Amino acid sequence: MMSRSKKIFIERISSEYRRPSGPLWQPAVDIYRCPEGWKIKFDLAGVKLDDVQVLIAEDKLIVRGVRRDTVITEGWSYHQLEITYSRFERILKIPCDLARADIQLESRDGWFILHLNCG
Amino acid sequence: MTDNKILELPILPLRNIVIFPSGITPLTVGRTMSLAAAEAALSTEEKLLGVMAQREDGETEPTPEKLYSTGTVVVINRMMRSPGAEEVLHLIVQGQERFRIIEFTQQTPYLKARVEILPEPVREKTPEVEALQRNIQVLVQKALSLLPNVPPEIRNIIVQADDAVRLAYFLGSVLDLSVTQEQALLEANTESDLLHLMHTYLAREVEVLEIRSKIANQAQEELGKAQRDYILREQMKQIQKELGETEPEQAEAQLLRERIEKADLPDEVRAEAERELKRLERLPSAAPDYHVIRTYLEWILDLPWKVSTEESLDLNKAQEVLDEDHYDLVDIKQRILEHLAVIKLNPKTKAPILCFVGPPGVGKTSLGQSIARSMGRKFERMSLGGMRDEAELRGHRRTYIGSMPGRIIQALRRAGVNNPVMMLDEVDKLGMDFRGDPASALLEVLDPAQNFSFRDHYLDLPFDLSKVFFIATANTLSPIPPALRDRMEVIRLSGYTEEEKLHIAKRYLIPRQIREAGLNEEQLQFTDEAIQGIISRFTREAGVRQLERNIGSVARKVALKVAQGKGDVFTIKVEELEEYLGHEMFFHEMARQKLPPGVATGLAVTEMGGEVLFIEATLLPGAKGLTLTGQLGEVMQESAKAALSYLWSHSDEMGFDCARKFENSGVHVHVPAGATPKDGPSAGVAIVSALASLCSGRAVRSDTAMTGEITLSGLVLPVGGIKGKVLAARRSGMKRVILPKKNEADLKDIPEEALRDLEVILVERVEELLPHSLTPADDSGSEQPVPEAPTVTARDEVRAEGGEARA
Repeated sequence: MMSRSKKIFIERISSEYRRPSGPLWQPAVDIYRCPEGWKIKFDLAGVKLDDVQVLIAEDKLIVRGVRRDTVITEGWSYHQLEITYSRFERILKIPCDLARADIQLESRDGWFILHLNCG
Repeated sequence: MTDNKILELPILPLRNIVIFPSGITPLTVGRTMSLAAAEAALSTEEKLLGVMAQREDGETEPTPEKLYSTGTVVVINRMMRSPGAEEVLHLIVQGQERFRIIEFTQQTPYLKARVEILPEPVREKTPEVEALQRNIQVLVQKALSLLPNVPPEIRNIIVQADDAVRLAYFLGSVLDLSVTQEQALLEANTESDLLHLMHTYLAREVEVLEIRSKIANQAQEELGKAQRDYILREQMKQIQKELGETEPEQAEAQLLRERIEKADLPDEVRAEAERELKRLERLPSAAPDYHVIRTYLEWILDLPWKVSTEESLDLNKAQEVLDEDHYDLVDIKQRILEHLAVIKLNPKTKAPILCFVGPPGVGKTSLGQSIARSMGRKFERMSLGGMRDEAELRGHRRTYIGSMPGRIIQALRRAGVNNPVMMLDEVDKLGMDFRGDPASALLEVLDPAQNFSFRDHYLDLPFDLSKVFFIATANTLSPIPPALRDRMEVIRLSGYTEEEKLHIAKRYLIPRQIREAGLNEEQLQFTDEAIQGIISRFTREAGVRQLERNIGSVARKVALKVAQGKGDVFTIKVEELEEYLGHEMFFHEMARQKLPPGVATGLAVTEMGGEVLFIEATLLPGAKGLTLTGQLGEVMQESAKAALSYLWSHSDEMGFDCARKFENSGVHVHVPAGATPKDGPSAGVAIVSALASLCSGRAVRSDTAMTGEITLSGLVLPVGGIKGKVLAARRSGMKRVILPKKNEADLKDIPEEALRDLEVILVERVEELLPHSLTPADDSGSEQPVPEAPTVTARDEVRAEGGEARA
């Protein structure tokens, strides 16, 4: 299966962080404990790796992005819609020194896996 | 603001709703433009849509001007098409951010605009915002306590909300606000503006909720009581059922049904009773109509529709009973016996309607009782004196609260039979005013042609009164309306003679009063002279009430003496009367007086029986015309004028010098007592005698009383009340009575003993009259035209109380 990953650029923002807009949808998350640290699996099928952003605000890990419907084509129309598109955001608190952690994001089989090596 | 994000979005106009940047809202899309906008949004990658509230609901294809300028960006989370209705979309959208329109880029097929995303309202940490937040929390708590059915999720969201702006948006979507209010919330750019608005709305909402809950509580309380009563009553029924008792209403209805089945009712009445019973069975006993119907049914069942007393048709026995109770009154007894005889021959004959007219105390009421006794019928008496309301006779319709049948039906229920003797006492004293005219109601009751189906207002069923023997009583006939008088067979009881009174006293009054006083007949006896003394000197009446009172008074005084041991046997003699009864109260006034010229003794009939009255006339030298005083009625005044004219025009023939005297002087005629109104033509002969006496100078004979109407041509016409008048003349000690010749037949009614001491002179013309009424010329008194002061006697005072006298 297709698997892409990237060493992401971590943006650090102040603790006063607030979302700039109204409530966004939250993807479901599985969190694994592993010898290296943490593996965080996001249910984000259909999201492009480039459309995801990981932010760190003090002890909070923020994953946000946007899911776009790339399937719909000119001349089609919806009969039913159940998948939520548009921007999402998930804020997690992980017991890990985020400032020094090695963070990597991988897209695999429709999952997004965040590798968090707390060192 | 320039650094805000700019987007181009399909715009979905919303009716009646503002979507806030929070929360999830279901939308149904049906308008063509909206469908196109929704489809356009769905075909984008992010499924974003701008929603904006319309200023007016009615607009189906709103143009940009009809929309507010601020809206909300929403993501379409879910979309479904209605099965069977493809052109309706059901969306579930989630609000994200506020936006402001920059410009509309497209209007068809759907609205599309470039919009600027607005930041969330600026959070402020001022004390004012803090205060508003707290107040809103307090109000929200209050609202939650007033709303009974808030889902726990909502409760949790509200209670746990930590962000004032989100809470305000949430409340905005939950509260029942108008679009304008919601839009104002959406447009608020600072936290304090938003919270101010929210606070105002919430305060009002809480107020409304409080009032609502108060009203609801009141209603609850009222309902609660009624419900409680109902439940208790139902429980009682169940308990009674368990105990094997039937429900009281049913038992009552059952009882009534049995009674109706057993009762002997006319068909119409039975049908009505059954109809009412059916209604009764359907009603709960608490219904106000229940008791009305029950009472009505009881009335129907209690009435003697077909119950009659068996009449005793033994004429001899009836005669015996009548004689036993009343002395004399031959006419009436005869009439009763005749009726009994008719019934014997024709059992279906209608009962007569009699009217006894006579002075008080002559036994009208007790005669009714003895008629009932002689016929073996029940006796019911009702006094009509002072009755003013027609409804009292005929009842009130059942629509009125507390309505009752009238007195007639009530009397029949008391009697328990449909053929009692019903006495309508004092029918001449019926009142009449704006409330109704009971006399007219009596017309129906007393008309044999109508009263077989008498309808009482309350019963509203025909009752047959034709078997009822009605007897009305009255003191005079004149106040009785002619229509009513016409329906009755009038029988006059004109009073008793002294001899009759003596018999009545001996046979009825003395034994009764002795019994009343607790004595026996050996202990108290009266000599005939003593009784006559009481009659003539202590009473002046047509009846025997005063006589009985006086006898009673004597009996009580004797009883006192017996009780004190001052004696055992008393025989009252005439000399002892003053000792028992005080000074004698009435005098034989006329006989001992010599009348001066110009004064004549007339005879009149009053409610109290016959009376003597004086006519006084005097000349007024130098005056003119005729003056009449003494409350004379029109007929009597005319009679005086006729008398004057007759004497004036015939003075030559009679040898009196009336013409000259009347020419030069006025004449004054006065009839004492001045306070008693008098009317009628029968004083004519007395007036003509008085005037003749005046101009001849010859006095009128003081032992002569007279009555009769005169005409201008000198005829003496007959008048009524002869018996009463003659008895009065005799009572007053008159020796001679002048009557019209045509009244000769009336003398048969007068007991022989009353006529024994009286010389009755019958005259046809005034010329015959004067020689009898005036003293002979040589025996005349003085020429003095002015008579002595009129004699005031005790009799006059009595009469002054007695109402109108008819001369």
